[in-house]
Amino acid sequence: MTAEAAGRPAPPVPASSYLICTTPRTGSYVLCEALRRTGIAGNPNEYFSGGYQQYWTPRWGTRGYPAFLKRVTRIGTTPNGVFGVKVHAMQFEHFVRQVAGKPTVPMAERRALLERWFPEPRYIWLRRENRLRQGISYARAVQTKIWWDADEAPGPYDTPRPEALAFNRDLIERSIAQMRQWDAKWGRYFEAHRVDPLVLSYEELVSDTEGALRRVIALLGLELPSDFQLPPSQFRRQSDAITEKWLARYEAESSPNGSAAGAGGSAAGAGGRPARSPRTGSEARSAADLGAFLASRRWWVCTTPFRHLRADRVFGPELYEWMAADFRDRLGQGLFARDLPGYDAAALTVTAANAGAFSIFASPGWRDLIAAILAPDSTREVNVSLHHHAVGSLSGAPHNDLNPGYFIDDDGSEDIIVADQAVCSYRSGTTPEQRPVVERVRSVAVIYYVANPDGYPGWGGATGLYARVSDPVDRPMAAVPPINNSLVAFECTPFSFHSFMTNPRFERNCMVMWLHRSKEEVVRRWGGHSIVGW
Amino acid sequence: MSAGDHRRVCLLTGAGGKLGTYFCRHFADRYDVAAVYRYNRPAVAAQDQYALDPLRASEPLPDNGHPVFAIQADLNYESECERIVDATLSRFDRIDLLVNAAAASTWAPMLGNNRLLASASTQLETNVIAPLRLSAIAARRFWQGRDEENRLHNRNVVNVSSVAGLRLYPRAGQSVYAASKAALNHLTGHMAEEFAAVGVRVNGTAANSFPALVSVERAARAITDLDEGSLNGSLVVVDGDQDEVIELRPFVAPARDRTHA
Repeated sequence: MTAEAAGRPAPPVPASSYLICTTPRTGSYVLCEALRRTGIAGNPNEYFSGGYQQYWTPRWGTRGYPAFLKRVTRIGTTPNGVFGVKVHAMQFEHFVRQVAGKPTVPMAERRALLERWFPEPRYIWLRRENRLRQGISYARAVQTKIWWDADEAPGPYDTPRPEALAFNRDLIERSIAQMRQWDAKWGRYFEAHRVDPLVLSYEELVSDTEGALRRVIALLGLELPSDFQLPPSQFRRQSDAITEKWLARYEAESSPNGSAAGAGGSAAGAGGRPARSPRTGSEARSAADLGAFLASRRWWVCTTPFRHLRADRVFGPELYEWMAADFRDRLGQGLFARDLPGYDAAALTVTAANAGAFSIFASPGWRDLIAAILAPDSTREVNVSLHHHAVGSLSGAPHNDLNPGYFIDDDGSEDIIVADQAVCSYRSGTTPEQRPVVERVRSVAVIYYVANPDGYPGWGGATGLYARVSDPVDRPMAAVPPINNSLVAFECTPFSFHSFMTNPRFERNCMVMWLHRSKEEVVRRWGGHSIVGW
Repeated sequence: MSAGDHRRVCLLTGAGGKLGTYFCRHFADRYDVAAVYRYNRPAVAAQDQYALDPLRASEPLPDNGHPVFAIQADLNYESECERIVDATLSRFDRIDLLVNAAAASTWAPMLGNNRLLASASTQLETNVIAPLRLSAIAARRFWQGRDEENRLHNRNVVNVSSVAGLRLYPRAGQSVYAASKAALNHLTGHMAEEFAAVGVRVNGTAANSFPALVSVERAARAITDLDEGSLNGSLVVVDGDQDEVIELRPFVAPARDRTHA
């Protein structure tokens, strides 16, 4: 019996629609549940999955994909005409193939096929920042067939197999690679069809579900009632002690010598570390040892507005991914501090003890490599830190980085000396144990971009390079955008004017390191007055 | 002197973009390129930039074989455009091909926030006014009075537009960007008509998203094809299986109607 025949109002036809474009293990069911509970934002579910179609087609008695989709549009649409669907990249490909009636559908045709059924689509790109946790979660679900922990199953499901649970490093790594591929598919779709999606993260969703919900509601042009309160989710968090155990085991197996990385450096290897030795680059005694880690062997030296070095695809994907995951982990653990006066960023000092994935920057080989190109008279002392600029951080002002830095005076060692605030204050030279210190001056600055959102270069967060200290910060002579795995480096001189440029749309993350030279050399070259004190 | 006796001189804006960088990287052996960029330098050899192998920094690399002449400038200032043309002429003595490839692109909805309005002037300035300004200055400084020489050397302008100037993509937030590209298409038609008087051809290209839907190579090849050909007042649409040519000049109103315009 039809709805009309039964005296009920006819099913709504979607007037507008949205897609939650996602990958598995991103909390998408939580977001769908929240949207459903508003009563005005459709009834999103995994309608485009082959499994959903296979399960419901015989139960609904629909024949052919169009009939199935008609049914889906009724179910997924709220009375105000809004339709929602949660969709993985492979499910979307299944959908367009079915609608087009052919085995492959060119990228150029996909949006039109979607809009044939779902008008005015808007896009939410739901991602998970911590790939390692996503990979572990996916691997567990694949093994056990347990995809959620809820009182009511949100969709068809297989028989659970909890007994199948077993740590499988290979499966975790393959899961991570798979998630990355699926996210990349979405990225290509958005780029091809000029889509500017609303980007949400799992981490943001679980920490503030109602906030995430309100962002989606705003995107859809809807308004929640003023007294709306989101009830608690029926979905329970599946991450548990086993997750933490697997995480620790994965990290331990990833670290050099098979032991976990140092105190602050939870070395979460999203893609694993390079299999070659030296595995992290920390053991690179000379620049030649870095060959196994460098991806591009084409770096660029540019002299405008002052001599600087640029490189894209600096490291191989394994090491880069490990650094990105490590950066995210430390950020997630709240290890960064806003303790840099006049600089609108949070920072974390990387020491020899907690270098983790970033240990290559504290290696003699890396120091030699950079020094040879930009400042051969650099000494053994380096300062390495991670910087995080939240969205909307203020631009700085052009400055030259010709600042002093203090280190323990360890004449007997030929090793690299990495700044460590616990041992010696970099800015003042005070030491808890009254050890002898040496004053150096920065000789080279290296900015390496890592863990930034993919695919949106040119939207702020660049490093501006200037000819004069008085140049407006938004009018640099050159700007180096925060493209992951790229770097800009330059010799610190009285004229190396540079600045962070504001990032209105996306966070900006980087590793910053400085090499140093003797104060006497700086005084000889440019005079003592050139050194910019703290 | 015949047209084939010397390397052609190309003044290229937007050199730091995907298309511009590709052009510099792959055609610098055929053209002497004056590569104009605003902030993002193209990663190619230039008079002030060279490639090195970080592990063998002193060894020569083939990448440095055909350096472009890089010019950092802001096209939104007339004085900067004059400096660009003067610098190019000082360096190479002539301009055979002017490629207006610089673009400003902000996609945002009209309603909801101020991003679109804040960017509107810059988009129109960069995408429409700058090509006009640079072409006019090149004509004033060099092409005028050289009609025969210009024809002999097949000198021409290519304005890089977009399919967004021809089609309306819903919900892409392209309103101002698309309007600017549509305006550029129309400007190209008018420019073709007026520059014919000094023997300089003017055409445009309108590629779909590259590299997602068409290759950067194909979008760049459309420019060199126009340079080598004889079209004037045409827009080459780079999309689908093969390029399509749209004539812009037939839109010129018949002479008898002009007094009523």
